[in-house]
Amino acid sequence: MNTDRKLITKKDAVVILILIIIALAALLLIRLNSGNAVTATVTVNGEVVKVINLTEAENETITLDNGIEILVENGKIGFLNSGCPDKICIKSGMLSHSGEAAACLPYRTVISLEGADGQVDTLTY
Amino acid sequence: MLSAVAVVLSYLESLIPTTAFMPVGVKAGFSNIATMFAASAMGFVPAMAITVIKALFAGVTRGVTAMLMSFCGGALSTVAMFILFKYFKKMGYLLIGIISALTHNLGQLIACAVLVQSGSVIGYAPVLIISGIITGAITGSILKAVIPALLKINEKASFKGGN
Repeated sequence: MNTDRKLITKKDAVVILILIIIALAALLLIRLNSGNAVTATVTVNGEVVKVINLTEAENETITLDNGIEILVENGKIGFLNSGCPDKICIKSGMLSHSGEAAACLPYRTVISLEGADGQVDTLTY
Repeated sequence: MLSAVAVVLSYLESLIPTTAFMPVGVKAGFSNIATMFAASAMGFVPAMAITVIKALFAGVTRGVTAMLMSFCGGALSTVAMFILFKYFKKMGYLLIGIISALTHNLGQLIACAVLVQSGSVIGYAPVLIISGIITGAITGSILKAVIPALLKINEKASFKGGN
């Protein structure tokens, strides 16, 4: 093993700088492209189970077949309750911008938001 | 021995309240320090063994999904760090740590997309890239700081015939 390995070299610093620039650019690009979301799509196992128009939706709590509760409130949507252990889906909070998504992995459930130009071709109620 | 270190590190890490100062789902990845040490000083198989044991531990404590996520991220990251340690002799710890963290996140994102059968989780990517750069830099620096001590312990353990 090479024990003389340094913490950082000049070449590394350049690579790291480029990585940071790419990351920030990607973040900026996404922020610029995301407006208020219009539709929220809920999928379970890759199948669309619900499409909600956030601009028209009334405040309500939706309970899915797998027991997950989703809250729609003032044009925002988020996980309210789920049986999963880590609750990352709930901690993702209420979403309102297009491109945002929250996922509950143990239940294979995703809420994803699209803007006005987001294509919606499946409507299931 | 090192697997125990990795498991303990990832347990300690879970005790740090994540929501307070980090985005959702982001962890510091301290257990990666053990994997990185194994990949650099012991070889591919011990490093991969740590990854598998870590994943099993996650499976026992946090369920099957956590196990899959841990393994997919860990395995990809282990392959990456092994290649870097072996073939990029001049690359510093900081960058290796960052690339390990980024590949770890990439592996998990792929696993995640497959699990939920949806590409929409790509929305997490920017957060994961930025946090990966930060946490990777931290773990890389810690590894650089602790590697002389770890090497000593490892030598001792080898002389006793155990590991």
